[in-house]
Amino acid sequence: MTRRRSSEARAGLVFALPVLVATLAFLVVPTAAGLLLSLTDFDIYALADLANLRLVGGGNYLALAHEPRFWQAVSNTLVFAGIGVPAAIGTSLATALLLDSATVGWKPVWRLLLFAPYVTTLVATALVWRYVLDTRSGLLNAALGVVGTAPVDWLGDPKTSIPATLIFIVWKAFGYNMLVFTAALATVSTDLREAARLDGAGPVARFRHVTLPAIGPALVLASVLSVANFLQVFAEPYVMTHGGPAQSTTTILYFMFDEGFTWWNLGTASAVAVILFVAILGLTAVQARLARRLEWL
Amino acid sequence: MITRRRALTLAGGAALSGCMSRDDHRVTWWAMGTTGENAPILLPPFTRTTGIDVDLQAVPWTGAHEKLLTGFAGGSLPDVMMLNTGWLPELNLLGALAPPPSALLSGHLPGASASVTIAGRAWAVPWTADSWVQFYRRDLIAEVGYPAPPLDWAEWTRMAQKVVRRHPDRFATLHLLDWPEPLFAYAAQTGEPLLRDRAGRGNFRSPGFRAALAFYKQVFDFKLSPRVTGAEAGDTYIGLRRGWFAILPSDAVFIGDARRPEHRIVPGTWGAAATPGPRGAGAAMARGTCLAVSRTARNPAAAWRLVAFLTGADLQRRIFGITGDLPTRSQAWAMLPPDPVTGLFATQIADSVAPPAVPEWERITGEVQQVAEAMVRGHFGVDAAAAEMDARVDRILAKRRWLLERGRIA
Repeated sequence: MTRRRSSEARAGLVFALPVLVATLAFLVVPTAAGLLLSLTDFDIYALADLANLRLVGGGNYLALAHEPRFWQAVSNTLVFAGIGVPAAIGTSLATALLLDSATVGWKPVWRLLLFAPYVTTLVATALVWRYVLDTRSGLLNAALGVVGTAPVDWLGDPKTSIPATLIFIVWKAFGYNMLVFTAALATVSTDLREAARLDGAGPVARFRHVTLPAIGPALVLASVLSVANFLQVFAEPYVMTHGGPAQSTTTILYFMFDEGFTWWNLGTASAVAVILFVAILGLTAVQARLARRLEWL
Repeated sequence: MITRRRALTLAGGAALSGCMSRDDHRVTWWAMGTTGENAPILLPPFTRTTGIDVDLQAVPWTGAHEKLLTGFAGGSLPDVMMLNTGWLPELNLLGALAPPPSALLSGHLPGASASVTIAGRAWAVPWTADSWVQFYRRDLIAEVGYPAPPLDWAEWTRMAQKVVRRHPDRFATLHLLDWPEPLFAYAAQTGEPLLRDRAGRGNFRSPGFRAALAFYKQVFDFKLSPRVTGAEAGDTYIGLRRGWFAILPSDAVFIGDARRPEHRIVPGTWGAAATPGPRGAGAAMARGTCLAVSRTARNPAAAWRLVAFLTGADLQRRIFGITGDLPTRSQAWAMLPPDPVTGLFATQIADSVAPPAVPEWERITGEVQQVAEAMVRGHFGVDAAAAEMDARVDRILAKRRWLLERGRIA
């Protein structure tokens, strides 16, 4: 009996080993290395000669605390996430509900069209959106001009650059969660909906008490993933605005990229990475706890 | 009988030997910007005469600096690289460059030779020389009664205000907010050093730099330039052609671009003038590119042959014909058509000051421009912006000061 169990355990270990090794090599070791690197002042001088490397302890973290560009990146990222997450999930949910409605025809076509942005190349779509948002010849300003609104310098004004970039990000990303919600909506029992309708529940009450509990887990999943994604926004501002105007679209990850790969201050960049890692871990833990408290998980 | 294993070994061996023989006659080269895009036209004669294949990669200037550093860290630098001369101290510090054979270093303009020399030793071969001037639309400047943009700040401002008054929907010039060049071109006019204390601290609070900064700010305060970055301005040549602005400050790349049919800039409708200074045009900031060979080049002899070919006087003359990039060899200058624009560049290049030769320079110009942009957008006054620039630059140079104090670097 014991021998059999131990041989089973050994077999299990053998099966799990490849994944464990990969996790160790590609996740645990780099994370630990990043943590160690963040305690040094690795820069271009250290890249030239390792003798120029100094151990600075918490120095990078302290310097970041006094670095206005870092705090601006943090606040930009929070604005991105604060507006972006509700906007993205709201759009996904709204389109999923619309697609779920019995009155909509041609569902596969709509699904395809709405999902298409998610699978198209980011750089190509970003370039197209730059044309759409162009101040002098853009489609959006032309449309606003018809209504009589003065042209808006979407990507050029530090006040509108984040909203303009967000329009693009939401447009690009909502398709994925829309599919998740569509799948979840398909599991809502028609019997329950009918019963609720017969009991006199209106559309809002039916959504709140029948649909929402059924898609709750999908909603939690989508919000966890969206928060993590929006805290790591990088490619969109990199292509659309280069972090400008006036650093108004420089996110934490953009700041980290600049420090690390443009200027080769790997010490500072690693410190930023560690901070972001801890922040996302903490936020996800909070979200998981909140979700567990809600009845539908 | 040929077994499968044997066949595989044979094939592998053939592939390997093929690879080796190809490597002997193969040089990798990264070329930047417009020059890089046009480089394929230059190469066939080289391959024909030497039998060396050139594996060319065109890299846009915007991503070139980080690509070079990443290439060094990843051990994937090409054999030959085209560099902005301002990046030479950085790559030299890394020990990424091989010193060129002295035969390639003679016959260049003195300024060009100086731009590739660090602590008395050349680390690359000068390739193109450049400066920063103002290109202008003759019609829009003539409309307000000037034959050409004036060369001192006060008169220049009066001219620019007349342009804007005449066309309220237009601008006099275009100073892109993410381009450090206009500000540094004005700073060079004042002749004040940009760094102090053995290049260990910023010198941006100096009276000269503050005067340049005040003039730069005034250009925007008087709405003589739109407040835009390169990403929004789009194609600057279309802007110039449509008269969105009258003066485009630029380097010699304009000469080549203006000739391209797609830009539809009619020859003779534009002229060039030196960058204005506080009391007439002064010194210009030295600009230009050079060709360097990586220390890890697999076949240095072939790499230097390519550099020798590209930096020859005939080829430099030819490059001017294609891209407008100006030569560094005096012999090539003698071959240029005698026209006022190349004449202007010749005097500007002869009268240039080199930027400080510190590895941090690229980052310093970037951060100084960030503060300048914030100033233009109303976050700082001139004095506060200069103080912020010094504070940021001192932070960037902290490690350099530490190394200087210990005598680890000169």
